[in-house]
Amino acid sequence: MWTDAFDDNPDTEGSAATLTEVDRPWHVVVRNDPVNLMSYVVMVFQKVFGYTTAKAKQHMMEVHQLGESIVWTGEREKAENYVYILQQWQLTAMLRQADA
Amino acid sequence: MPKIELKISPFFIETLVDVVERVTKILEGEIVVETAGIDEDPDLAAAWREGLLEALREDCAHLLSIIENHDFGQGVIAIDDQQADATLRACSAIRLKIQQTFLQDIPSEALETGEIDFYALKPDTQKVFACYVFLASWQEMLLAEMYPHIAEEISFDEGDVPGDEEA
Repeated sequence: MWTDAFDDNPDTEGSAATLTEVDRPWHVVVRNDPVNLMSYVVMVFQKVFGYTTAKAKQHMMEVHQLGESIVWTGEREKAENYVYILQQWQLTAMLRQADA
Repeated sequence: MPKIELKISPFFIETLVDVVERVTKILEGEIVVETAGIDEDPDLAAAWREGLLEALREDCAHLLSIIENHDFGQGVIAIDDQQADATLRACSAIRLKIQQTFLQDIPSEALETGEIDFYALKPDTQKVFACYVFLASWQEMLLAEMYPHIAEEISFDEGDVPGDEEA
């Protein structure tokens, strides 16, 4: 968990680790489900992110064939907002911090 | 504003309303999608879930108001864009809950491809499965009406390999 990197003493290596953790961007990940229609998923990606049909379709195909797709990457607050909206559209969406 | 022509037997509408009402009652108290790991603060996580639940209740209320209207299934129905979005989301939520509650014995692959022996299902399961399929068809009709470019471009070709473009 990312909070494990926090340290009570800000002068130790832990604080540097904290900065690294905080600076790393967040992915919005959408996972496959056996229910939602392909055209529906494409429409949601277009509506939520403003993607072209080609790009939205590419992400949908990644979800369908690979099991998940990173559909957006950036700061945590925005990523959380996107995850919330995707969940309102009934997609299995989650946050994942980018690897160091 | 999407206009959909639907002619459905009153018997099926009765079944549809019954199933959607039953599933909507379940959804009044639980969301369908996984939210685990969203926030470590239990208060924020609860607020997150409550927000989703409230939106879900509104979407299902829109859907019920359409299918409970006595004109539903008797000809052309006009739905405004906001109501259409709510209907699309509600159809997804109800289909997901039907799958989780009544169709969990059917393998995901069979559900995705539609290769299911309808007559091998128990009568009660046949009922909910027919509604599950109908709600998908309705979503397809709405999407084709509202976003025709998507329906035209979507290919179900399994050889359609995703590229490496990042989000």
